[in-house]
Amino acid sequence: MRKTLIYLLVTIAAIALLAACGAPEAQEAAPEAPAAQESEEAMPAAAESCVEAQEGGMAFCEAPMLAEMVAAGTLPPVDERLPVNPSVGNKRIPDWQAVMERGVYGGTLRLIDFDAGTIGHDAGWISAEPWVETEDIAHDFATMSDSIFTLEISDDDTEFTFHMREGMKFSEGSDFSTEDVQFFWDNILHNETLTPVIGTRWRTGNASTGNVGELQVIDDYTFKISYDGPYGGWPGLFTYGSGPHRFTDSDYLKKIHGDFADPGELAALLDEHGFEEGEWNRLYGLYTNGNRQHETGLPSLSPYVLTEMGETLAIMERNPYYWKVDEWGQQLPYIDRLEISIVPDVSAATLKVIAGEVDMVRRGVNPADMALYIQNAEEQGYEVIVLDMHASTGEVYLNMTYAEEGWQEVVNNIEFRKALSYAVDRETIIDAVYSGLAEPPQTMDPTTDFEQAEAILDSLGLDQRDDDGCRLTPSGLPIEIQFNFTPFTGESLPTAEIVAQNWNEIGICTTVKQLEQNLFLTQAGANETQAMVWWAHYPRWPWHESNDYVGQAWQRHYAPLWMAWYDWNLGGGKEASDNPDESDPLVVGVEPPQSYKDLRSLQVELFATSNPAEHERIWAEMIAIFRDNYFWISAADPLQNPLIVNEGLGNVAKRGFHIQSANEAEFYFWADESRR
Amino acid sequence: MLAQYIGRRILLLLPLLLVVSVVSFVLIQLPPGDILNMEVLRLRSAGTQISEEQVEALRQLYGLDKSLPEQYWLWITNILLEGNFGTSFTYVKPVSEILAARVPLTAVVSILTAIFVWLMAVPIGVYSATNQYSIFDYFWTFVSFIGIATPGFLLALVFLWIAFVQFGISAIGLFSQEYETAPWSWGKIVNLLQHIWVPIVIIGMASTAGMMRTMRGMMLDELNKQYVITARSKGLTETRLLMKYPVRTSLNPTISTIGWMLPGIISGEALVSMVLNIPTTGPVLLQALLNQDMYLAGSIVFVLSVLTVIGTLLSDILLVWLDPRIRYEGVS
Repeated sequence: MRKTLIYLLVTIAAIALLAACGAPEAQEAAPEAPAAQESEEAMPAAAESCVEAQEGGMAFCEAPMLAEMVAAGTLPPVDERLPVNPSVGNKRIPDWQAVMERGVYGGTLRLIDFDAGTIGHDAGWISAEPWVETEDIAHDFATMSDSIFTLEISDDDTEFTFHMREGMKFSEGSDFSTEDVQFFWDNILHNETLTPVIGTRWRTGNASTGNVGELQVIDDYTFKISYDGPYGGWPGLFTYGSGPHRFTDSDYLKKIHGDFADPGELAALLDEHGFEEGEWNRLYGLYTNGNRQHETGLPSLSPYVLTEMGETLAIMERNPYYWKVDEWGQQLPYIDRLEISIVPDVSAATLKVIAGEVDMVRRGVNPADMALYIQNAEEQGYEVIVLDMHASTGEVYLNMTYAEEGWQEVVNNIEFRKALSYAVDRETIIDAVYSGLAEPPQTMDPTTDFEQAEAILDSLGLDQRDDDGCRLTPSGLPIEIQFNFTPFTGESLPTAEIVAQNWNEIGICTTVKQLEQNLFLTQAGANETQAMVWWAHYPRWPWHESNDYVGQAWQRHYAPLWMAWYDWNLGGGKEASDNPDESDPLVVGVEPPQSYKDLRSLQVELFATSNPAEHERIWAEMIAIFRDNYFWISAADPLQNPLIVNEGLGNVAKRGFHIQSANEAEFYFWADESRR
Repeated sequence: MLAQYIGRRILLLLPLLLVVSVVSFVLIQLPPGDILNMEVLRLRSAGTQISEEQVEALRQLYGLDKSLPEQYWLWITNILLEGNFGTSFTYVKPVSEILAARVPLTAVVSILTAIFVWLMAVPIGVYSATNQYSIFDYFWTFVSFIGIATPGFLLALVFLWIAFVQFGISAIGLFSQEYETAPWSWGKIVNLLQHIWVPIVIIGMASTAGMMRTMRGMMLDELNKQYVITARSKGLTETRLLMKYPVRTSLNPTISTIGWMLPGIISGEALVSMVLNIPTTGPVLLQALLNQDMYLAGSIVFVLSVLTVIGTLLSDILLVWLDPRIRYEGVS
């Protein structure tokens, strides 16, 4: 009760404070609010900067652990470490998710990861710094703000001017300037050893046939990338994770880059790491891998740097050169260090979670353990927050180009797909597979009606049945669906089984087959899969996973031959081929229906413009196409996943997407004083 | 004579190891696809974007464009000539570093488990046999049936649950938090000993139970033999009689099974280690196999095979020393 009261007071104080000063403009060099003496115990009564509270007349404040290093002469003063215009305040978390309080320095945040040798999950997300940001990772360009860069887009959506922060530094103190950008562009992106194929994201319109953009360095802190056609959707790829590229210091890379390194030193390094002569590209892989930062000293722009990596525990400490401050002029992050326990798999994480030995868990949760989490929450002092996922782990796909005669007779009929969708018992799936933590799909008709499904099938002329009660096509061929799945996510097996049972009930005979993962992917790519259960990002995620919803993801789920048709006819396949009269359907593909072509041209439009209103319109049209055509059958959307957070942790966004919950972790602080 | 016997054994082992190395490398490569498919899946499921240019670059980076025999030849020559086991794709570090961190702990856990098994099984087996159908015998028979019938990982789970409910801790790992990344010290060893008994007891449970039954059965066979009666009638004390004749004979199978006890412990250890989060080779091997991280998996299988083969050799030598009756049969 008392705790709640304190939170309430703190929140009220924070709101009052924000109201009093208003959120400062992002570009402001320094917070200018007049200062009063700061007290550690209580929130200040009015907006004030931290500056007056400290000695030395600095424009910014820093964590005590860094102040000690400055006093000892091992670190330059805080003003020299920060850029002249640091990034001020939180930009990604909108107020409806969390109102950021003024944090207090200190403490350790305990995390958990479950892939041996990596800390890519939660700590990896904490380390991600996007090029520019949008609120809530919702891709609304209207909310776009600066992060590493400030971005200017030309009116014709072809030129992108990036303004860097003067004096911004990497984690070991070297300058981040256009020199590093130029090095990346010329010697990494355009180096054939490191980048054999330049990806579509660097090509006009995000298309494999587009030309690669051009870099123009304007001065030390300004550069421009231009394309030969409109590509206004490009920044949509910047706002998620680390954007299209995670920068590091060019001088650091020159030590291991085959074109720059001293041959003797390079040979010694190759030998030390057990690589063959000339394999400097493997050295590059090692030197740019975040999981090896404790050994290589990889300069980064992240709030924390990896300092120790054991078999079961990794330690990260604050980056003294981190380039963000809060609205009161305090350099971020607030929390000093991260301790990441590494367990063999997700289920092993559960025990640590319910023992209260972890402070924030996003990826290491298992919805099936929900009851355990809740049962121990109060005693162990953590909260279980249920948030929407950005992806679904068990969606149903019918391969519309699977070359079986009987199948081809029916599957391309929208009504047939609709009948199958009507016969998916979503309520059972949501209860049995997701323990109720999911909603019926929002981007398609969620109706479940077995009678209507049977009526539709009958009206399509599928009313004849064989001796086993399986429906036959109008020409008398059997329709037998074989569901393939691979247990990549735990949801695929139960989903496949329930759906198969549902379809058997309406006379569409269906069997389920489990395949080893690689075999599954190989078969899918070769158009040998008739139907599958697989995971996908929702069609509410327009930019990053755009290939998922047009069926162009590399697992090629719903119509591999349509994709082949695009590659052959529009993707330059025909021109590049030795045999333009090719007839192999796997190569030349099958012409897709107009609705699918519309979908693809809308996707092109989407990537061409930077206008948020246009995005909204195009996106709505694309969703209408999914809804009308049943290109895939969604079982549930959105899924929900628990986020486990220690009660004493402040500034945690408790709404919004599950995946972004660690994104602004530099704002986390210990409201619970005993943890500082 | 003995030296010749050992020499012959060792010579036989060399081609065996070569075959093992080929089989372990090839088997790992047999499933379709390669580490990259897994890597891409893993990255994407973790929310990391990966583009086709990165995949292509990775493929070259990993040398996956080379042929299988070529990859094997590079791998085995590097091991034999330079002691270089290659690089793990998932860990992005030399396999030898991973082995150095995990093989010693695996060996410690395995050897301590073997010792625990003997210390428990032999005396209990002997006692159960000499006091057949006593309460004690029934009790241990019951325990050993449970030990044989219950898989180690289940015992580990039960143990974790009890530790959690009773003490509110997650009793996983081999070290306390403060020692996990610390360099080796006296304190760390003490800390290790405080934790290591849990996996040892759990992993050793099945073997202990099995060996207890074997020991008991062997002893019961021996106890009724003429020479025991003769010795007893000569007035030998019961303890001396037991130790000098039937126990020695009954130990025979326990020694000769060292060879296959080691792999048993190591494979049983994998699951228990997964559950208890113990940094041995087991969990790494499992992950490496799932990810098709071929240099790592191949090297672990190879090193474990070498250890097992050495274990078999040792058990052969011990057996010859212990039981003169089967001495040097193959030699003469």
